Amino acid sequence: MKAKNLLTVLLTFATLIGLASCGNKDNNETSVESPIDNLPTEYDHYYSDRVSFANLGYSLTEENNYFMENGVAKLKLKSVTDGDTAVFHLANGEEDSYTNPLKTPHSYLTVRFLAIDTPESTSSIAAWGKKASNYVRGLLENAEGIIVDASSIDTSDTNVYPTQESKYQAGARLDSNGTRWLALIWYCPDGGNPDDLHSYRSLQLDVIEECYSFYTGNLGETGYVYFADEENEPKLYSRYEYGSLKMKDVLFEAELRMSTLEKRYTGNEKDPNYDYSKTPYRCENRKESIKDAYENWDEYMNQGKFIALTGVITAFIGNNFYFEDAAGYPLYVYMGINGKSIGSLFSVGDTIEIRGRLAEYGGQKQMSDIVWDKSTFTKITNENDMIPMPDIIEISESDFDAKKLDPLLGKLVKVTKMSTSTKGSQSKDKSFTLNGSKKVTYYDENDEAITLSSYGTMGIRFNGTLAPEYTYDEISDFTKSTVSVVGILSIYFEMDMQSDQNYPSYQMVPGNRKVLDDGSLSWDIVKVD
Amino acid sequence: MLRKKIIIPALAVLLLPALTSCNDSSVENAGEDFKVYSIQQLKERATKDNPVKVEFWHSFGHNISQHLDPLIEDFQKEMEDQGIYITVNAKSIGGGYDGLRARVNQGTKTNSIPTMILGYPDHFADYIANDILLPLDDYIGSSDAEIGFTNDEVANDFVPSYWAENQMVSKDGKNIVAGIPFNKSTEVMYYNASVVDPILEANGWLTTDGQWDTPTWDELWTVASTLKEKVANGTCSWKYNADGKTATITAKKSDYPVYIDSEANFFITTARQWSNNKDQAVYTRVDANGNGTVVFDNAVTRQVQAYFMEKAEAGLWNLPAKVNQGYGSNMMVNNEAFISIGSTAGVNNNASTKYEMKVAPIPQKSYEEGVQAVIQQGTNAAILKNNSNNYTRLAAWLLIRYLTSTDITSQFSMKTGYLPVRKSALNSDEFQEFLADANSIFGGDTAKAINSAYSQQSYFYTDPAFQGSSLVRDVVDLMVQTIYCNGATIDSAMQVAYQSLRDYKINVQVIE
Repeated sequence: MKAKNLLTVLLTFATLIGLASCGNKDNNETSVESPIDNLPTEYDHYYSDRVSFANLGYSLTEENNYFMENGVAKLKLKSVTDGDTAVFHLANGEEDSYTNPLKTPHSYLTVRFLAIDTPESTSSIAAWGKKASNYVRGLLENAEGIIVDASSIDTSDTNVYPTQESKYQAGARLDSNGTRWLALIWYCPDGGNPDDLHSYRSLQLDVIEECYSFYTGNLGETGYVYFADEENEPKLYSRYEYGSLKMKDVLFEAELRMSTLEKRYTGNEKDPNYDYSKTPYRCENRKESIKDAYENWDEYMNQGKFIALTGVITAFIGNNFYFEDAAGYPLYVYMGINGKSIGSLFSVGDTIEIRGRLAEYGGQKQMSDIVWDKSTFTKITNENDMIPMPDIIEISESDFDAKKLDPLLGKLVKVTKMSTSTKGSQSKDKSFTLNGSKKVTYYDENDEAITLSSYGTMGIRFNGTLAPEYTYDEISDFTKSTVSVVGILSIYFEMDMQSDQNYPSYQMVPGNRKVLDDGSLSWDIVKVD
Repeated sequence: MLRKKIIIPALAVLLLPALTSCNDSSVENAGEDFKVYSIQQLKERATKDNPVKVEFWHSFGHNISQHLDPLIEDFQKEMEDQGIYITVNAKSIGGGYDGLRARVNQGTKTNSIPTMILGYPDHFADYIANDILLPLDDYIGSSDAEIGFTNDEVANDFVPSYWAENQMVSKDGKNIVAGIPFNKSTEVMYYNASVVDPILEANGWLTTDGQWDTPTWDELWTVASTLKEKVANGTCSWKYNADGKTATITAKKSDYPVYIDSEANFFITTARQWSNNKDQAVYTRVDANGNGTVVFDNAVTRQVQAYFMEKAEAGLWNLPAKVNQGYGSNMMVNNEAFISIGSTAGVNNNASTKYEMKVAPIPQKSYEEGVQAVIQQGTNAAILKNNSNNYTRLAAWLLIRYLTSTDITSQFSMKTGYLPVRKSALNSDEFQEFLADANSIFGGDTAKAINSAYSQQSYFYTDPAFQGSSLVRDVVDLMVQTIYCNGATIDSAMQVAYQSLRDYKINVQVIE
């Protein structure tokens, strides 16, 4: 990255602060009125309207648009995960291998937005989480351009960061798990000029000024605003001295100012679309509770409804599982990032009631927000309420048609004959896919049958958390052959904003393997003639 | 540094007018002289239409706050049942405890600070110096049984070392109680017993009930060497229970079989273990006036670091940052490491369906001679006086009293892995049953961690806090990282660290 010169930095801060102290949006040069004297009565985006990426004084051109090298670049959005995380395509052929424990390089970048922390909306679901996520999604998906800026963490001290890698290793740009990058996000809103750096707004400021997050960065160099007794106490309270965050004063002041509004998440306001009940909702016909959930999906999910669903366990996929009600409606239960398995308490074929909330992830409907507690899981032993294990549904490659597959999603399926091609690489959790050869027939918005040029085949997804697992090596025997496979028919859909063909991937997902009497492991995938 | 020096005046001039006018306190009579009101006075003021609001800042993530929030709701309900309406606004402030402290320090000038706060003693030292901390002695000593603690509670029920760390000195030289112990933890050693236990058994280090109850560092290296050999020759295999039967895993890769999560804890704890006696200051020391001096550049710490560097260079252990990770548990659950030393509160991250996780005390240099030590960590609850009045202070005190009561500290501990702060909670039938059921799928792992934590209780320690001591920890964190991850020599890293501390006007002393 081109060296930032001192004058620019000075002007930047002077400008930022000058702007921050300005009560008149149209005249930001002379007014000294404090925004705190003009407390908000609405989400007025006082600061975010006044700060742009250009204020930081970077020179960002086609020639230096290398994120891995410079820590700042214009990147294309791949997808938005939630209110504080998104995935971007790296530019100019760059690859990231730092965030994958297996060191497999990948051409995209998962970014945790620095300095904010929006309420949860995926594996657990908190009040205001959905709204925060939707807000951020709306901004980024409609942006004309996005700048991902991890250079705001200054790692220029070569005593501390002697090499490029040491900067990453020290965690200055990666989150504490080392799996996501930390960065400021600047976006050019819909209708703006993406070539003009003045058009790029701070996403973090906007989120804070919508009261969806506190400012969570450290306040580092307290000498800026905090008049401690400099002679007698240290000025610096942060381990990230070497990586102090620009913008921090403005972000903090924005939060302070907005806190007076007492709205939304940061104002401790009740989310009108969140169910705060301590006892779950149970539908009248308990044996068809999952059907009821599907029929009222949007309402239950968008209201964050705390519900109890009953079904028979059809497969364990690692710590997670599928269950199905008496009406034949299946649902995936996601136990959370650090979730544990209930496999030692319940078996495939058991009917259980489970409490949680509804969510969608990767295009898949699921039950989520599972609290690890005895009261969450109840085995149904009353014969009248027990649900029988469904039969396995047999299909063949001729059924690889979205209209035929969609009704079977989440069900136990056997593909009797399926031709395979190659294995994909392993992802962060050691999951991988054995790609099929046969194209799936999809349908466009006019209901016309189409075949995708890429990613349009049925795959067999070996989840890295299976217990016992299928190893990457042993699946080599099944490439470029014909197999029979039993598993849950599933889809995975991650919107790629840069692709014009956004269709879900259909996947057969084998469940946890069984240990046979002779100690060997069962195979849900076998070669056939 | 040049940039900082020039920018500060610009910012100071331009930003301060904005922030100093930011007194967004909505607390009536904020900062009034302290007086202990009666419950009846609070009842008359805290009505349904005009509840008393308590701003409470912590820094828990969702995993912990989901267990704290219902307890706060229960408190509000109990108060309501007495006709006292209290609204607690519990906020998780980001940036960890450092962020919390920095925010309080920054908010002090604008009086945008809460009534109730969690923090470490060295945070409280800052708050005392800035004259914003309310000593809790008058509440503790209140003769009103609904407000005060009994002498017996103070002397015999709160875990003494937890209580002791909150004994501090006020600006005017009085001994005060700065906080009440709330969420306490320590460090333990998590391990994949499916693969480690056979090695322990072969060496005779496993007790009859299958515990590695007195591990030493030398034992750890023997285990780590064996694991490394096994991985190299493809025999690092173990069996685990799957679907009621036995399956096998073979670990194929392990950069380091052992990881230690906290750089500063590692440095401080091992320095203490290697010291000659408990009174020998090998990290920091505090004089009678509460002034601190850093002394960690000394012969003991250099000897310790040389010892551990030799083991790291042999590939036996390292910091997670060495492999771009934040916690050793990430490698444990990926079967690329087998032993991880970290906080009791991280127990759930180390568990896996693919091995049996056991928990041991952290290794000691020796149990027969020298000093045994493990750090005692976790925060305490305190009340700040500047943006509060005698109603919000009393309401906050009642909340602290509730959250640290025998029943509630026990419940909070069983859900989270933090340790109960009262002996009566630890000794209660319910808690003892919980600890005894270490095989329970719900809470069993937490029970294992707490059992191991308490087996070290006799040598829990903390270094006395002084203003800036938290910064010293931060510098040590970074120093240890540069040694083990960035290839800095022990000498140069210590010199850089000391220079940093001098820059921050912290007293340092090299002890040859």
